[in-house]
Amino acid sequence: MKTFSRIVQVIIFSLIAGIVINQFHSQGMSWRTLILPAFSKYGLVETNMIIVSADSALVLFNNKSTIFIDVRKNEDFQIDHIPLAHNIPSSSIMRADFSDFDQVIFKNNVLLYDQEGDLERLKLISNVWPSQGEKRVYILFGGYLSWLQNQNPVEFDG
Amino acid sequence: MIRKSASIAAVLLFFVIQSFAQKFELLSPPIVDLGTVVEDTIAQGTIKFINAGDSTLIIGRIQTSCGCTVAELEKREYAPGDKGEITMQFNTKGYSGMARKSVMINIDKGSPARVRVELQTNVKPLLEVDPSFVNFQEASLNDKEIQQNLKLQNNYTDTLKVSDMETNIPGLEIFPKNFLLLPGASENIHLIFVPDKEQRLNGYIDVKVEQPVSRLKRIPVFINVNP
Repeated sequence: MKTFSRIVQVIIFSLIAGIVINQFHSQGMSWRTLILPAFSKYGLVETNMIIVSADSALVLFNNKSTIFIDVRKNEDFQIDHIPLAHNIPSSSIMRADFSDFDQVIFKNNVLLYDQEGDLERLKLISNVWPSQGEKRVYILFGGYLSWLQNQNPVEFDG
Repeated sequence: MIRKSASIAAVLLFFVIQSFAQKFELLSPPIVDLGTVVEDTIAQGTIKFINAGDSTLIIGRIQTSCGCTVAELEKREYAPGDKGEITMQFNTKGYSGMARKSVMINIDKGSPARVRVELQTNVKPLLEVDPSFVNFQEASLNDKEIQQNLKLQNNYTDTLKVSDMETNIPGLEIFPKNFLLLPGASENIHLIFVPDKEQRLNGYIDVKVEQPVSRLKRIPVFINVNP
């Protein structure tokens, strides 16, 4: 019984130490990324996230009412992307590291897209997205590839 | 004096290295588009390149982004002005819609050190679902019921048998739940949802197929009932 209690203590201590170290580590996740998904699963966190198809995304694109955010790696973004999209890699969002980006982005409705539309990852990202006010966060179903499949406009760098 | 001589030697060495450079230059676009292919086939494409430098270029490992893609090179060493081809094959089994796979070419002797090429293809699924997900996110409590049709198309060369359609969403009705589809034929699936309380529900519809192969196709369902 004593050994069991010691093991539990070590596990709890390791968990707390891990969370603390993660907060100070340069590649660590923000506390929101760690904590919020657990609560959002049970509907305890309000979210404005809406999943849209590539057709609906094109309507948002043409309305110019929504800022498109490409959460892929910069090297993927450089090959091609949705025109006028901003590249904020998911790793930066997970760390809640938004200092390098234009703060106007966070005052608008945004559409987040990745390469293939990994919904679980995008939901996690949308939960930590620093929306200001009652702004909507859209997620592109099928990701950038569904945008390509619909033959929507793309922009090539270089 | 010694420092000055060393600096001049370094500059000269730099120019010598520059003049005997090996340069990998793509002759094809960095995105190789293979067009539309049917699921469960092999899509094939080639990348053409040239050694645009003036000494021998040596290509090292060629890495692909998944096990479904293979890339082959005819030889490793290319003399100045030599052209080469990399053949790439992508197995589309289990894929549907647009797919993109990366091929990374590592260059052992030459520049740049790595070149990335994308293999792109539009995979036509054998069991096609249109639209690809069920969207009831603009539902309201004022709606008595919301309806949507899903089109299932058989792109197999044999008759397709759907034995059941199940959902984990309470209150979502589906019909028909079992039917036969001849090759090339399609069936409209009727969905009805009655919003009874303000809620967000994310789930799926599973299409169970018995023929010509036993498989399960999952269609995502997103429901958001607003006040």
